[in-house]
Amino acid sequence: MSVVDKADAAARARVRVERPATRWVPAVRSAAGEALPFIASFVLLAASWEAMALWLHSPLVPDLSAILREFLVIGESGKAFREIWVTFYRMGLGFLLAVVLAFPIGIASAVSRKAERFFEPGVILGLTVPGLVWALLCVIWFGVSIVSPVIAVALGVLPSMVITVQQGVRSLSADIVEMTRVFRLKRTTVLRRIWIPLLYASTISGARVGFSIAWKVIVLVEIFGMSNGVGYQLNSQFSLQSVEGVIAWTLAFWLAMMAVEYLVFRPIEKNASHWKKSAYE
Amino acid sequence: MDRASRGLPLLISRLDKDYAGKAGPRPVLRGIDLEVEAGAFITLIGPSGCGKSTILRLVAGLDRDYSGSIRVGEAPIRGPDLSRGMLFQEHRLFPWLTVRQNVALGAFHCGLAPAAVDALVRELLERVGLAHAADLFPSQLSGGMAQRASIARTLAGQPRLLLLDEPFSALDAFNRLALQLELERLWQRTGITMILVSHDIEEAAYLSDRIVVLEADPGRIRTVVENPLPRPRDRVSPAFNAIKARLFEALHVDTGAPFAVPTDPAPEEAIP
Ligand SMILES: Nc1ncnc2c1ncn2[C@@H]1O[C@H](COP(=O)(O)OP(=O)(O)O)[C@@H](O)[C@H]1O
Ligand SMILES: [Mg+2]
Repeated sequence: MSVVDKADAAARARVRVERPATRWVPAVRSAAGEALPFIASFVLLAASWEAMALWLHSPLVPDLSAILREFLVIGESGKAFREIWVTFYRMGLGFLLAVVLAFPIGIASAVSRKAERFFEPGVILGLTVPGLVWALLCVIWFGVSIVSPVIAVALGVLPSMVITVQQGVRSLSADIVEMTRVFRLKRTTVLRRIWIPLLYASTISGARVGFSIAWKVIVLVEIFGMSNGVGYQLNSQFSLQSVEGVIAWTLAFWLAMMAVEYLVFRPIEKNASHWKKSAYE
Repeated sequence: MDRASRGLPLLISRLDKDYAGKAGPRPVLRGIDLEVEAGAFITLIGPSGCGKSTILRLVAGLDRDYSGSIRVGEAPIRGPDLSRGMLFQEHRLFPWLTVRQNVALGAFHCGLAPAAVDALVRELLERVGLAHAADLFPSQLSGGMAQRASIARTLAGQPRLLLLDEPFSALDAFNRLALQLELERLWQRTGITMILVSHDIEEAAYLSDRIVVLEADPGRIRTVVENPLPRPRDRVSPAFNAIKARLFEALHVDTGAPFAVPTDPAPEEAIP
């Protein structure tokens, strides 16, 4: 430890001894600083909606209290949780299928020009076709079974996941690949030490985008072909002409997606790319 | 292993190398004859594109498409081997592994037990002055630190011949001088045979026993400058400047003497 370090440590120790009661203040302040923009955006959104409801005074634009009442109704009965779970379950399966297919296709199109040309038209087709078309076709082909939502979601998510994996593999420079030869690393070591960390980091951000695409497909499948799930609930609220019902279900699902984002994707992404240097940290 | 038996000798004879070009094969190296005794320190110097990196890649075993013969020690070259370590201008560390993990991979093929690898890694990091940075990622290192980590990783393979492709040319002047000294000390302590490629005449004159001057199109040896100056060398002595003057002359660089001595003889071009 250098002299400067020692002096520094001593100074820090002194601060701890002299002001023990206020140690938590900076932590609270930084937490508040992080939450503030979040709360501000929420309040602004709610206030604009309420102003619009007051101004228009129409059953088509229910005020906040009506929406909140409906929200509590679906939440209290536990119905919202069951339906959201059903939707997540279908999305998750379809998403998983897409990831499993995206790896071989993405890796092949990254390393071989021929494979790239072979898969490219399909990928572009997939990017072009609206989720609505997959939803309709799958419901027609596979009926009301679990197969419809899974295949539809997988088809919707696959193209963007393939591109993500392909770009991830391409981002590995020839220099780094050459080093694996210089050090004569075994294939299994190259897989474990090079490919998996690289693909893990590059795929996880693609997965977040993929998950939001999955939601846009699943809701349509549930509207056309399912008898439960958030999409089905949205559709039945629509047929009841209940605007507050539609909004309450949308809000519930939004909250669930936020939970997935903050509790699943963010921590995984942080863990996967902790070796990258960010300018904004 | 004692100092004398550590280094491997290198013998290159009648080496020709072509790269495939648009209009058929393009000659890159012609008639290279080079003998480097075990434990010697030599530098290859010459204009960009004259084939210096190509020679190192052939000796490393990364490219086996050539004619002529290259022998390192007794065995012919059958591909990369840890006994022939390589260092590049860029550190080429694996970005998602920590310094410690990177260095451990360098020892991967030696077949050491995990505990022995740990001890070796710790000792090497200590030696290159990175003990405190063992758990940092390459993106968190400065240029000099990254190149030191890269040196430790290469040393982990216990090389007996080191191929150094302009390893210090991307560093600032202070780091470059420091690493030149450290490389010289490493060489004196271990007796590893050193083949350095450099653009820096002062670096070549300071470090090497012999400087091989190449010319381009096709790449061939123009002349060899012996450098018998005793070590440690004095960078400002008249004898040292005389060696530098011979190198400038061999490279056909007009120094404009006696008024000025350019320190940057050959600008690096972006050649892959
Ligand atoms: N992989 C390659 N394919 C084709 N030509 C190459 C390749 N690598 C190098 N060359 C060519 O060979 C010549 C020598 O290159 P190189 O050994 O990198 O030169 P130096 O290291 O002396 O600057 C250059 O003209 C370069 O363009
Ligand atoms: Mg070069």
